[in-house]
Parts: sequence; structure tokens; C-alpha cells
Amino acid sequence: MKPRRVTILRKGLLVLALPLAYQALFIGLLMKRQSDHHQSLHWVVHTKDVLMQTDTVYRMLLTSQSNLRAYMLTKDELFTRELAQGSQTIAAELGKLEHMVSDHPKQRDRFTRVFEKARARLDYESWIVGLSKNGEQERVQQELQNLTGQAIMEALSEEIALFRDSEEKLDAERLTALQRSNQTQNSLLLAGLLVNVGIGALAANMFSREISSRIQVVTENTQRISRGEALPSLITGSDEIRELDEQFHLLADHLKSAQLRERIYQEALERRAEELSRANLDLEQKNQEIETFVYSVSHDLRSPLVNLQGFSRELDMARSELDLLLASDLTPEAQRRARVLSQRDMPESVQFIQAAVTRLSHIIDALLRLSRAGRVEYRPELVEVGPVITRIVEAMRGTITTRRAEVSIRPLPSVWADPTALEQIFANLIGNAVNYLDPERPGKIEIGVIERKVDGNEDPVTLYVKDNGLGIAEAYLPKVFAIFQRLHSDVAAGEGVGLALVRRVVERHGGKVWVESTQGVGSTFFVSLPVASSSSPLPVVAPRKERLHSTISHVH
Amino acid sequence: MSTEPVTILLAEDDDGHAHLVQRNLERAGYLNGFLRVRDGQELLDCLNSRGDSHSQTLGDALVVLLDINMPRIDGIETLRQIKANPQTHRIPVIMLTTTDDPREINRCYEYGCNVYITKPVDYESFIDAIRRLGLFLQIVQRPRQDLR
Repeated sequence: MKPRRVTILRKGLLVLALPLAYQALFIGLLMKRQSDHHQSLHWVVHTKDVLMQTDTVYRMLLTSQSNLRAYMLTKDELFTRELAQGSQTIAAELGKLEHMVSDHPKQRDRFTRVFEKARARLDYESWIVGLSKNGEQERVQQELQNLTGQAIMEALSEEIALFRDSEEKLDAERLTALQRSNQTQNSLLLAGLLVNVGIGALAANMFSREISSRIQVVTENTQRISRGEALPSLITGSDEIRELDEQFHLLADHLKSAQLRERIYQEALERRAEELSRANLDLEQKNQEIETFVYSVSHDLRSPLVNLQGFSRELDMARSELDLLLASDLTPEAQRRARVLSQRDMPESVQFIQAAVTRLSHIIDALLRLSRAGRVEYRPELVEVGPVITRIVEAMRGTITTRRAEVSIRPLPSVWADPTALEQIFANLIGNAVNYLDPERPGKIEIGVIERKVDGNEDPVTLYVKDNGLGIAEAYLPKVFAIFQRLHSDVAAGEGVGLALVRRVVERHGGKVWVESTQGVGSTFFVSLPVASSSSPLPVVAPRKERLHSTISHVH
Repeated sequence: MSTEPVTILLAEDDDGHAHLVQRNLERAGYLNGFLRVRDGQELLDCLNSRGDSHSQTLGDALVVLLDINMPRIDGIETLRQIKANPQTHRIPVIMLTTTDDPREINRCYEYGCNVYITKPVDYESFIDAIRRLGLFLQIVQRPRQDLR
């Protein structure tokens, strides 16, 4: 389950919403303040109204007093009407004032006292007017002299002054409150503005830091990818940038695995190339061998042909000369020459021709043998070497006895080989050992096996044929296994094929053959053969051997 | 002006070839001083012994005919040794072989052989080659100071 994603859009909206929310809050606060301010203003105005009303009432009371005095002096009825009317108006205005101060308990109390004094004054006035109308002038005169009306008026004035003072005090208080409210409102506005700007800046900064710093990380990651470096762990968050980073990590992983694959392929390719170059080298070597082989074959085949042609020509020339001699009368000199031709030159030529033919046929036989060694199908099995060697030595008993040689056979193991091929190998090696013994000393031939390590069961078995014969000069050692190479051609007859044959047979068994020798001391030929078919399977007939064979059959 | 007799020293393992060379040389008129050995080693031994006691028996004018394919020491190695030895390097050497491999011919000339003659199967050419050799030998038969 994936948590709800916080996208860049949402973050952006959040960044916008934060100052907006604050602004709304602030405006609400401001409106509240505004209404408070209005209230203060209202109260200031109200106080002014109360003061004005108070003044109005006071003025009316003073007018009423004047009207009373005027009536007393003039006795004009007009003033009595004025007085009655003024009394009613004053009552009404007092009612208004009472209503105005009803919200303030202290002022209401003071007003009540003002109201009582005003009432007393108005009652006094109407009583005086009543007395005057009834004609009780002395009583009126007395009252006036007593100055009771004056006292009432003074008490009233005092009360009104008190009321007014307290109301003015209220007014001052309310004005101060209004001013304070004004100041507060101003500073609040300023602070709100500053805070708003600050919050906006902070939000923008946070947004940009959050976005840009993470984008920076992603950008660096792309650079790391291009440089092939490892990426740090995924950046935090769940927005598009995180998604981008995840994609880059995936890309990096893909790249890494692709590089790994590439390296594997590269290595495989290099290995293959190495194998190929090795195979190529091997082929070149084989090719070189074939060239040498063809060279030897052509030389060895041409050599007897020179004799064949040369001596048949010699024969022909001798015959024509003989004819010529026989045609003329034979002088003793001619007779002698004819005898030389018929008894020396011609038989000699015939003899050389026969020798050349025999040699050619031997070479061709040897080539056929060699080609068969490359072609014949082997049936390898586990063969005991001992009996095979015994059989070979028995077959050569005659020669061995003639050469006064002593053959010793050490205990021998079993090897994985074709029995016939095995016999061929050792017949050649032992035959060579017997043929190239040194006539100067009694011959000694030994056939055995090189002791192996106990644990090395899979190692090939190495057999050897050791003699104390003529030995091989060091310079000649590399050529020993090449075809038609003969060292002791004066000692024994042969075509120089035997060791080439041995090498081919051994190699076809997956084995090796080599020689160690000291001239005049003796030679040891080593043959290593596999012990099991699995460790070294017999190679099938290789194409190059087919080619070789075809070359040979051409010559043939 | 009397000509010194030229001795021909032939190294050849094949009896037949040696015989043919000898017969044709005789037929061309070179009867004196023919000696045949069977391989390079024998030839080198012969030349070395000539250096001391047998110098007079073999005569001073000497031409070596070398077959290339021989047992023990082959013709090319023999040629190299003859030309490397200050005592024998003046002796003219004629290579005789059955092959006409240009690489081998070049190798012979590099080592300093004077003439290279292939032993052709075609007998007429072979005789012709021997005849040309005879002409060459006639030139060599001049007094020694003209040799080189």
C-alpha cells in the first residue's frame, strides 16, 4: 500500500495556503478590533450627546426661571402659558436624558437626584404661579423674599454641575480609550503586515529549499550515473522528485547490470579470442608440419626418380654406343669398350634403377602406413602393457640374440589404448633400440614405467624404452620425430617413418612422446598414455589428417 | 701457362646421384681429381685434414659440390661452416639438390654458395647443368690469383 502522495502541486498549494490562512485569521482579528473601536467611538459620541442634552435641560430650566420672574413683574398671562409649556418640554427632555444615561448606574443615580431637584423647582414655580393667580400677593412677596426658589434653583444647578462633571470625566476616559484603540489598531496592522510578509517569505524559502535542494541531489545523481559511480540512498519524500530519483536509481541498476553483462561478454569474447588464437597457432604449427612433410616427401620421391631417369638414360646411351661398336668391325679397343659397357656400365645402371624402384616403393609403403595411422579407427580398451611388450620382444628374439643384447622388462601397468596401436608404438621403439645399439659394447634395453604420485590417479601413465645405444646428437633431437629424417642411415635400413608413425599414433591416443638422449651413451624414449577414456578421449579423425592423406595419395 | 689440376670434392649420400655426376663429369672431360664423401661431416673432416698434412695430396685448386639433404650434417650447415671458417671460405661451393624451393636457394646464396644447381628429373637438363658446371670449372682452373 502506497501512502498518500504529497505532490509538488500540493506542496505549492500548501505554501500558498499558509499565508492565506494567516491573512484570513488576521482579517478576522482586525474586524473584531474594528468593531471594538466603533464601540469606543460610539460611546464618545454618546457622552457628548448626554452633555449636550444636559446643557439643553439646564438652559430650559433657566428660561423657565426667567419666565417666572417676568410673570411676577408683568403679570402677563403670556408668561404663565410659557411656563406651563416649558414645564412640559423640560419633563420630556428630562425623560430623554434619563433614557440616555440608563446604561450607566452611577450616572442614573446622579440623574435621579437632578430629576428630583428639577421636579421640585418646576413644582415650586407652578405653586408660585398658582398663588399669584389666586391673588395672594403678600404670600408671593414673602416667598420671594425668603428666596426659597433661589435655593431650589441653586441646589438644582449644583446637581446638574455634578452630573455634568462626572459625564465629562466619562467623556475624557472614553476619548483616551478611543485613542488607545486607534494606536493599538495601527500597531496591530503593521505587525500583521510584517508577520504576513515573514510567513510568505518563510514558506517560499521552505518550498524552494525543499524542492531545489532535492532536485540538486537528483541532478548530482544523473552526473554520478554518467560518471559510473554508485548512487547514495533514495532521497526522502513521496513527490515527483522522489519518483524521478527512484527512476534514476532503477536506471543506474540497469546500467550496472548492463555493464556487468557487457563485462561478462567481453571476458567471454576475450577467452574465445584467446582460444581462437591458440587454435590458430596450433593450426599454423600443423601447417608448418605439413609443409615440412610435403617438402620431405617431394625430395625423397624425387631423389630416386633422378636415379631412375638418369640411369635409364645411361642405359640408353650405353646401348646406342654398343650398337655402334657392334656395327663396326671390332677393334681390340672397341671390344674392350663393349665389354666395359655390357659388363660394367649397363648392369650398374640396371642395378641403380632397381635400387631406385625399391626405394620408391618403400617410401610409398611408408607413406601409406603413416596415412593409415592417421585414418584407422581405434578401438581403445584397458590393455595390460606387460604381455604386449613380451610378445614384441619374443618376435625380435632373433635380432636381439644376434646383437648380443639384453632386454629387461619391469612390471608394467594397464593403459587405455587400442591394442594393435600399442603394439605398433612399442614395436617401433624397441626395434629402434635394437637397431641402433652400439656394436662396441653389449646392448642393454629396458622397458618400464615411471612411478607416479599415489594421489595422481588421473595422471597419464608414462612408459619408457631405454637403451645404451649410439644416442642422438643434441642438434638432431628436434628432428627425431619428423618424417624421412634419418640419422644413422649407415647403421640400419629404413625410410625414416617409424618415429613419425609412433608420434602420430600416440597423439591420436591423446598422449605424448618425447626423447632424452646423449650421443654415445644411449637414448630413452618416453610415451605417456591416458589411464581412463574419460580423462583424455581419443580425438576423431581431424580434417587436417584427411588433407594430409589426400596429399599422400596424390603422390601415390 | 700450365693449369693446376682442379680437385672436385662431392658430398652426396645417394650412390646413384654420385655415380651420375661422376660419369657425366668424366664424359665432359674432367677425369682428374674426383673425390666423393657421403655426408657433410665427412666433407668437413676432409677439408680440415687438408689444412695440415694432406694439403698436397688434394691439390690447391678445389671445388666443393654439396648435396643439401644428407644425414648427420646437411648441405646447408656444411656450407655455413665452410664459409665461416677463414681457412676454407675461399673454396668455391656448388650446391646440388633435388628441390627448387626458392627459399632454400636464397638461403644458400645468403650463406655464400657460388652456384646453385637443381638436380632435375629431366636428364637432358641435368647433363646440361653438369656441362655448365664443367665450363665453370674451366674458368676456375686458371691460376689461383685470378680466383677472387
